[in-house]
Amino acid sequence: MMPARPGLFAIVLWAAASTSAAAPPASVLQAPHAADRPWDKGGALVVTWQNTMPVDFTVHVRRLGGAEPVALGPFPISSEQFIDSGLTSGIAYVYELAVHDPDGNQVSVVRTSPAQPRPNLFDLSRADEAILIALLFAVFLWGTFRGSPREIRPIAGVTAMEEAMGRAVEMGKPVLFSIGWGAQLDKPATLAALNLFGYIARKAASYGARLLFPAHDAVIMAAAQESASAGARLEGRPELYREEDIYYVTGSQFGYAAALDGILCREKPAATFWIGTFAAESLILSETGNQVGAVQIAGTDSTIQLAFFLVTCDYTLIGEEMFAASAYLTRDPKAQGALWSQDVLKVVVATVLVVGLVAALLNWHAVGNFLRGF
Amino acid sequence: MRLRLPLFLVTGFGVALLLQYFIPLPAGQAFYSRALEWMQVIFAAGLLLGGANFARLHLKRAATRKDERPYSLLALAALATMLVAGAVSIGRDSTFLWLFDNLQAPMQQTVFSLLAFFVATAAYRGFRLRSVESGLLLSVALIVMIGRIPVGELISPVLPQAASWLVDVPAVAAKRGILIGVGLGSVAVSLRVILGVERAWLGGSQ
Repeated sequence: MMPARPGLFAIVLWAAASTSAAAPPASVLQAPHAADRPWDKGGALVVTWQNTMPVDFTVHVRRLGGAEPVALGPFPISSEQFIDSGLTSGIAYVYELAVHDPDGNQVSVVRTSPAQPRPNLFDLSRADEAILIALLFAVFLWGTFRGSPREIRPIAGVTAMEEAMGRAVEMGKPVLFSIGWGAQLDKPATLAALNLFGYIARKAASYGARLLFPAHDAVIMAAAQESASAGARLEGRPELYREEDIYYVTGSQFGYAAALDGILCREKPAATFWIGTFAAESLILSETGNQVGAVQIAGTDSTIQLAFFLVTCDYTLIGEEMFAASAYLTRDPKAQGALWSQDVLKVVVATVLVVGLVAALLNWHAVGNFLRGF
Repeated sequence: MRLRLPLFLVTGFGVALLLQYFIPLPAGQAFYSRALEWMQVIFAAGLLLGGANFARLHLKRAATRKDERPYSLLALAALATMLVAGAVSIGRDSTFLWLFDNLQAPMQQTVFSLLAFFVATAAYRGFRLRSVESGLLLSVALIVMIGRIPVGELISPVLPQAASWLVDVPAVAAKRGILIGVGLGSVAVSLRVILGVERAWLGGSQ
């Protein structure tokens, strides 16, 4: 039995030596790993490791996989992860992690396996926006399809529209509508202005007033032609629709202003509607309109141009009034319901503003940070 | 059908592009890029439509309105000249650019410069002392105008500070109030259009 004992001892020693050779030494970073960051739009990887070394060691990371290696800077070894963003989705990246001791000497180097950033089904970083939009949708849908008629405070500029057109008919002069050089069909303000134009076109057809619409954009011109044609048809007077009165002028800002000034001086309209998105041409147009003696009604979402309209026009729809005007004019229960939803949300926004103000004054950082997140 | 097809397209594209914002899959991104490309295509087609409408309108006016004939002919000649110049060459030393720099740009600047005179007449009308409100407006305008020029500092160092405060605090507060209303109004109109509640812009009845 004795001879066998040294042999068994040798096997145990060998096994122990093999085991210690398989496990990495303490100075080598444990479990280096790179993986796609979940719930994002792609382009980011999360690199992780396990730390078994003193906390004053650092990890120097290099990204391999692009045209040339990129040094991503030293990280505290205790952080155990970092996120590499701004990458190209679908390309494999490898990370080299070098451990340095407090004196800056490199102790060991390991590499991760290749990993690819991928876009996911939902971008979690936009969850707050999704919740906010879902709430907005819910309130608007509820208000719109509940659709009960509501009392809306009279908007002076809107009630004056019909008077302005009546004046034009009495004077035998045309009505001019401009949507502004800044209007584009993908802007909500343009759609709101076209809604009002649809109403004015119908009224013009019912009164028999001539309606001019010089456009700076051919797509808007086509939409306005369609709207005016339908307005005349709905009033049972399709013969009053004149396609040549809704025409393209130019896409140039001051060319448009010059053309409209010329039209104002030649045609001398009895009423002008400046409703839409305006830029520097607003004052040139409305001041000329004032000089030819037209009744002027303006409405815009451009805060800078509002001041010019206020001093040159008889009535001005300020910001949201322009969006509310069509609901007011048509008395459509659904549109009025949507307007009611808008007011509910305004109360919510005002409440949030007051809460934010109080939180800032009382140093309630948690509330402030929560609100800032949105 | 004339109204339903555009409404169907607006609702479909509106909802799809909204969802795409939250779903970052390659198919969604490709759909978004394609939609932007189509916007460019529609814009280009719109230019053609505009050019054709412009030519047709002025040809008709030249033929039917004697008093406006010279202007319409000039407009048509300008359109033809720029089209030919652009078709021949567009570059640094091209005739097209020369025409743009030496004719169109000065004309635009001329119209823009009219703004200075219009501001003066509009300011005169706006600042007339007629009521308490207009008096307040006049006082604030005077403080801001004098506070913004060097002589304001000489009159009193308080004037520039007061001008800055008026511009940075009450004016910004009012502007933000309007912008919040505009933002909510934009969402409301967009939803009304996407849901097909608002149809006047398409020529439909409300």
